[in-house]
This record gives sequence, structure tokens and C-alpha cells, in this order.
Amino acid sequence: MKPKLTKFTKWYVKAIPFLICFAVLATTMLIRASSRLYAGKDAYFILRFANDLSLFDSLSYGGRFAAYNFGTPAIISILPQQTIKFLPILIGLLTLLLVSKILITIKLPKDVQFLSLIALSISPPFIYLFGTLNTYFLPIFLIVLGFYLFTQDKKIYLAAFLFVSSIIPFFNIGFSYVFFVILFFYMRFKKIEKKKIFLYGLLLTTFFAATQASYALTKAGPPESLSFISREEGLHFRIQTLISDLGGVFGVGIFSILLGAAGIFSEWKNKYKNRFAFFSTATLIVIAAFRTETVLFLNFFLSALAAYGIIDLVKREWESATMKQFMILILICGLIFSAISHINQLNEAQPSDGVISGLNFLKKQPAGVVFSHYSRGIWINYAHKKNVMDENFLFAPQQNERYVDSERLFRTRNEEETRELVKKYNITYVWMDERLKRELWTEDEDGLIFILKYSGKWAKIYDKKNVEIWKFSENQQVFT
Amino acid sequence: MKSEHKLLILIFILALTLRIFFVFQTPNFSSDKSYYHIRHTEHIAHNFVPIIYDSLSYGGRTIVDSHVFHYFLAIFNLASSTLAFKIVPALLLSSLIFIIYGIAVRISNNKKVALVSALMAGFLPIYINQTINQVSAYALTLPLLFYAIYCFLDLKKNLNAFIVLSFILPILHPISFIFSLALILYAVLLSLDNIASEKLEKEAIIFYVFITLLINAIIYKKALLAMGLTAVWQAIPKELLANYFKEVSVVELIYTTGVIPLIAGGLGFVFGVFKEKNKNTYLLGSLSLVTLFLLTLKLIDFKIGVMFFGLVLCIISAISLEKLFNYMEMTKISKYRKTLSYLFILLIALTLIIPSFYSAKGIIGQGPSQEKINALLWIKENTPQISVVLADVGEGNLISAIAERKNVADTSFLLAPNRYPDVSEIFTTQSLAKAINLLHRNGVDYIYLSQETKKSYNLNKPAYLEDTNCFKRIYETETDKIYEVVC
Repeated sequence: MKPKLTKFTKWYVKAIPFLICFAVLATTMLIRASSRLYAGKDAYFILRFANDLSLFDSLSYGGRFAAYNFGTPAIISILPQQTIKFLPILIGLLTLLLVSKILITIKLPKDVQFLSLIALSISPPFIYLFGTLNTYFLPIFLIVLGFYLFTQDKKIYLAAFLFVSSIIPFFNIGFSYVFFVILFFYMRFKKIEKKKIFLYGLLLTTFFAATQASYALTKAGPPESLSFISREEGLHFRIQTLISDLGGVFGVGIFSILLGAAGIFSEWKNKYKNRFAFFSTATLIVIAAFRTETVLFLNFFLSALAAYGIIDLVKREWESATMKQFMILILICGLIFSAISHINQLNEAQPSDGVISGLNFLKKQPAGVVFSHYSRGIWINYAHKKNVMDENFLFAPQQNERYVDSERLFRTRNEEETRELVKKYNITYVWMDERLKRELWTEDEDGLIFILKYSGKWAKIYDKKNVEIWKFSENQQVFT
Repeated sequence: MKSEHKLLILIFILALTLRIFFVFQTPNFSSDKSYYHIRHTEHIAHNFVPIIYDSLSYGGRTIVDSHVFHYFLAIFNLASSTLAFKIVPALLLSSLIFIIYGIAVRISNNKKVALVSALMAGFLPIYINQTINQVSAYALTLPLLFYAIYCFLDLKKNLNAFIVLSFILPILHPISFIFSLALILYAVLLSLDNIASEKLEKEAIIFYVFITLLINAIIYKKALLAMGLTAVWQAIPKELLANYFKEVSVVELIYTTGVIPLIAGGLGFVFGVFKEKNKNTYLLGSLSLVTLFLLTLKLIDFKIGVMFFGLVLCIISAISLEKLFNYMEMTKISKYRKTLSYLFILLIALTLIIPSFYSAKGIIGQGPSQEKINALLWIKENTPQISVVLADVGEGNLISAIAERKNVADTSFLLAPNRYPDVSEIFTTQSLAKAINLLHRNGVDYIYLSQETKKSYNLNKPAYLEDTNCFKRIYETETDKIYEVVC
């Protein structure tokens, strides 16, 4: 007689997390109007660089050594254009599959596995990773793949692990070391005797990371340390970045945190059995305080802990059945709300319609250097134009000097000074959008805005949807 | 009917009478925010849908509000606006007395002492000051919040009510979050003092905290995404923040909460927590501590925080008063029980009831005068509907509600553009060019210069308003002037 299948062994139950994952990621990708392409800046950098893979970036900073992580643009460059939009979704599904296999290997209970996968697939960091085109999704996938390969015993898998370890630095050097920290905890607390493989992997990673770094040093010289604050600092900003409900682009949801905490409490009695999870989580929390991208790793552990939290709350005997039922509903609603809210946030993220239209216009203009705030630099490059400065600060030439000059150009009302700086950087265009105006100036006709309007050397060649593009012409007296 | 109940009803009638007496002294309301609530309520009463995009506030912006309170008042507004805006709030605020009585009975087991707590709460000066003649969501939130506390104190009997209130309170007003924090602190304090807490209580705490989090996250999603944790400060301009979140002043605390609640409440807290280890006192003490904590961190409005603190002290006073009266029974003073009771009531009257009376009188006087109302009605009748009228931030809701014109700024700061610096600059600058620039930037067609604006900015009249090429004085009374921007 066939054994009766429990609810967790029926085939369609296993498919549920993958269906949810696909639905969520596809919605994220497709909901963004086609006119606005991708959310954020990473996608524009990847697409532009993928079309022009070279060790010399002729557009950024007017031309500089391309000290970037080549991995993701290299992969993108070999794929047909039409498939690029769906690559993150496919990688997301593969990642989820690998995670499910890892959960089986580390022998988590079936109900925890099931809920972990669902919690992971609707978590804001996962949605960001695999619902948008960004520089993190491929390294994270490779790390999950590497972890899975490491957990296997066959030699071919271990050889593949070494191969994967060696290519991760080309995608993200920092992530490769976080990976080995987690791997170390796994090895240590699960008493896995694979020290040699671990060390070989670490050596390969270090070798390729060091090779990249030393090549960059040789070509571009030692990197300048930034003398300006490129992004907000402070505890409040970090908390905001780490929590998606407070605006963090790849932050975790508040309910995930609460459920994760509930999971820690419920599993605390088994802390010696779960030292790998607890140590990894604690370490990642500490690293995330300094490098917020680490939360993308933390999310995997948090999802598993959240699963434990949910199960504990559900299995616990409640004195009030009504409260228990409402509680389960609230938890589900909380997780779903975080997901929906995040999808919406990504949908409304910059660049706006106006910015895309402006970039499309800029693409059609003759070659020239475009001046704007460094936060617009990557978009400007996407329009095949050189920028004065952008956010790829590592090994960038004279970034501090360029920053100081940019600030002078934004603030000055002196035509001579403006002309000097325009000549220095060979500026042909100025990009101005409404948000930039609000951020940089308090008055309507302050600084560069005054020069653009009244010096007679600048013509406004584009003014739509809150984006202005001005063109410089030394010889002509142009009245706007 | 038991004599205590008769006395309780008497206290309720007295409190209600005080409120009704004062609210009908004036047809107007004593806060600018009242007019915000009135406008939204009337819109719902006529259209059955709330204003999501307000075309008048800030010249047009999205409103972040659950509107539950507006729907509630709209039901009464269908019958009569006086009922909705004058009588119902007074009734609701006075009904707090019954709830305070119920909680005080629960924690002291003494009905007489509970009556004293109810009397003190009903006539707490800060409570009167912050709620009389004002249309505010606190009218509904406070009674329900304290009722939730009452239900929590006996969950076995009142569980369903507690569950219902857990859904309603967060939708009504974000101040319900104070109760979440208090419950968490309560659980922590019990755990630290090794006091066993019932399983049902723990479940209720988790339930309330999670539901509050979820509902507030949904309602204030946009604000939280745009502003992160700073949304807690409601986007109040930092220039005004000093007024909203004052430093905690001991003198003001004593005056507004009354000496008796402060002393009796403090003693009650000590007895309840340190001597008797009374769980109910832990809960109320947690609420006080959370309120004080948020006040010192300037995370809640000073006066609202002091009001909460005062009400909780009134309840906890029941413990120390019960001890005091029991002690007196054992001594020779018990012969003079009645005289002492009357003296005590007199003391309450002197330190609470009379100050409440004067506080109420003062608040009534603070409302917009009839001259102001006339000026605003004049704007409504003599200016185009799409006009933008500049007034001080504290009068923005009046411009929208009474004059029915767009304002430049009002006190609904959340997700609104920060125009306070512009408004402040326009009223204080002596430069015509600067003023014109700012007026044009904000699309201002008319300037409303009231007595309150002049006081607020400590000026007589901006000098540039003398320029008749740019400004035409179209309305003038002793206190109010309206100028049209013609250049």
C-alpha cells in the first residue's frame, strides 16, 4: 500500500515557493513602465559598460581606468538584449532552488524549509536583488551556488566550488570575503572536515582579488580617499537604509525583523545546535552596520529565523483562539505588505519618466562633456556622454579636485570663474533636474542657475518634465 | 442605584456641564486643527469619500490620514454640525470619567477613592486645556485608549473588546503607539521583577504590538518611506519644533497636572510597584514612564504628553489615597472623616477645578474672533475660487475651511513641502524684491495679515506692503487686513 503523502511531500507544495517567487519578481520587473526602464543607477551602469567592455572607460570622469567589477557587465554583454530584463528573475529562481537544496542539506525541518523559502521570496532584499538589474544579484547567486557546492561531498562539486570561489572576486571582492566568513562558521559549527578545500578556495579568492587590486593600483595609482561626504552618515541614516519600510532600497522588512527575533527566542533553547545560524546572523548584523549591502546576506538567515518564529507562534497553544487566528493573519499581512510596499517603492524609484526622456534627448546630441551633480553621472554615461564626475569613486582621477570644482561651479555667480571651470573640464552641456535644484539651491536664481539664465553663453536646448539641458556656446551670444 | 454610581454620574454631569457651558460661549473653535477636522468631516458627510488629495492645503497635496474619526463625526454631522462638533466631542471627553473610575476601582478596590480619581481626571487642567472647544481625534482616542487599558486589566472578561479596540485604536490615531510601548515596558518590568505574567496577557501584548505596527506602517507608508524615522516628528519645521516639543518644565508640569495628582500619583506608583508589586500599577507606571521618556526625547507634543501623564497619575493616585483613607480610619482623625473629606474636595476644587475653569476660559478666548471669521468670509465672497491666500502657518486651516481658498502652508506638515521658511521670510523681510520673489514662487494672490500674525512675528506690518504698485489693500478692520498682490 502506498504511504499517505503528508502535506509537505506532495509535489505541488514544493512548487508553491517558486511560483510565489516568480510572481513577485515578474511583477516587480514588469510593473515598471517600459518608458522608465530600470530602477536605480546600477542597471544603467551595467548596460552601458556591457556595451563597451574595456579597461579604459572613456566616458566616466572624462576618461579613466575602469576599476570596476567586470563580472556582471561581462555576463550581460554576451546575452541578447531581450533576455536581459528576465535574467535577474531566472537567477532568482535558481538561487531559490539552491537555497532549498541547502536547507535540505543542513537538515532543517520540512515546515521550516517551506516557510523559509516563502519568507525569502517575498522579502524586500530578495525582491530588490532579483526584481531589478543591479550589481549584486550575480555575486549573491554565485555565493549561494558556492555554498551549495561546498556542502556536497562529490569531488566534482568541490572542484566546481573552487572555480566559483575564484570568479566571485570579479563580481564583488567584499562579498567574497563575507562568503568565506559564513563558510568558516559553517565548517566550524557543523564540524565539516573540509579545511583544505576551504583554504584552497580562500587562497584562490585572495589571489584573484589581489590580482585585480594590484592591476588597478598599477594602472590608476593609489586611490584618493574622499575628502567629502558622498552619502549621508549617522545612526538614523543607517537604520533607514537597513529597513525597507523606512525607505531602504534593499533593507529588510520590519515584520521580518520581528519574526526573526521571535525565531531567535524560540530556538534559543537549541542554541548549541544552531551556533552556525546564530553566529552568522550576529556577525552579519555587525558587518551590516558598516557595509549596508551585507543585509542582502543577512536576509537569507533572517528568512529562516522568521520561519521558526512563525512556526513557534502557530504551534504554541494560545489561550485565545481568536487572537491566534488574527495573529497569523497579521503576520501574513505584514510580510505581504512589506513586499507590496517594496515593489511599489521600486516602481516609483528614480529615474523618472522625465529623466529617461532627457537622457534619450541627450543621446541624440553631438558628443560633449555633461556637467551635473555626481549622482547623475552614471545616467549621463548611459546617454553616451562623458561626465565630469560620478559615484564610481574607487580609483577615479582627481575626484576631490573635481568635487571642489563642481561645488564652485554650482555656487558661483561669477562668469569668469564659470568660464574657467567650463574650459578646464571641456563642458558642453549642463544637466539640471527639479530634484537637483531643490537639493542644491534655496533660491530660484542662485549660483549656476543665474549664470545659465543670464550670461548669454548658454542655450536651453531641452526643458520637459522637470529636466533642463543647457548647451554652452562660447562664440555666440545666446539669449534664453 | 448605589450612591457611588450616583456620585459618578454627578461628576460626569459637572464635567460635561463645564464643557458644554464653555463650548457654547463661542460659535467658533479654539484651535486651527479643529477646522481641518471640520472640513474633512463635512466633505465626507456630503460626498461619502474622504479628501485624499487636498487641493486647498499647500495649494494641493496628498493628505496622510486614516479619516476614521472624520467618518465617525460625519454620522452626527448629518443630523447637525453643532451636535457633531460641539456636543459629541464634549460627551466623549467627559465619558472618560467612567473609564478612569473603572480602572481606579480595579487597582484600588475602593469605589470612594476611585470617585476621587475620576473627579481629578475630569477636571485636570491640562486635559481641559487641550480638549475643550476643539475638534480633535483625541476626543475619541483617549476614551478608547483608556478603555483598552481597562480591558487589559481583566482580559478574561474583556478579551473581545480588547481585540476590537486593538484594531480601532491604531487606525484612529498614531498616539495609540504609546500603549504598545507601555505594554512592552510592562512585560520587561514584570520579567525583571520576577513577577509571573499571565499567558493571556503575553498574547495580548504581542497581538497589540504587531497590529499597531502593521496598521501604522500601512497608513503612514508614504511618510515613512519618504522621511524614515523622522516621520515621527511629523515633518514639523525645525523653527516650529521648539514650540511643539518644549523642554520639560517642572513648574508648568505642576500647574497643569495639579499638585494632588502629582503627589498622590507619585506615592501610588511607589506603593504599587515597590511595596505591593501590584501588576496593575506596573502597567500604569509603564505608561507614565513611556510618556515621560518620549517627552524628554521630544518625540511627542509636550502638552499631549503632559496630559497623558496627568491622567495616568489621577488613576494611580487611587492607590495612595486608598492607603491614606485606610490609615485615617485607624487613627483618631477618623472622627473628622466627613470634614476631612469635604476639605479634600475643597482642595481638589482649588487646585484642579478652579484652574480648569480658568484654563477653559482662556482657551475659549484663544479661538478666532468674529472679526477674523468675517475677514475670512469676505475672502470667500470676494476673491476668485482658485486664489492662493498667504497667512501664517497657524491660520492655514482657517483659510481652507472658512475662506475655502488655497493656503500656502498649514499645520498638516506630513508630506507637505517645507514652506515655513518662505512664509516666515515673507512676513519678516523688509525687502520688496525678496518678498515679491517669494510671493511669486508660492503663487500668492492675497496676503491675510491678522493680529495674531503680527504678534507671532513681532511686527507691525511689513514695510513693503506700503508699495501700492505691488499691493492693494482691499480689506481692513482694526485687527485684520487683506492685501492683493498686483505686481
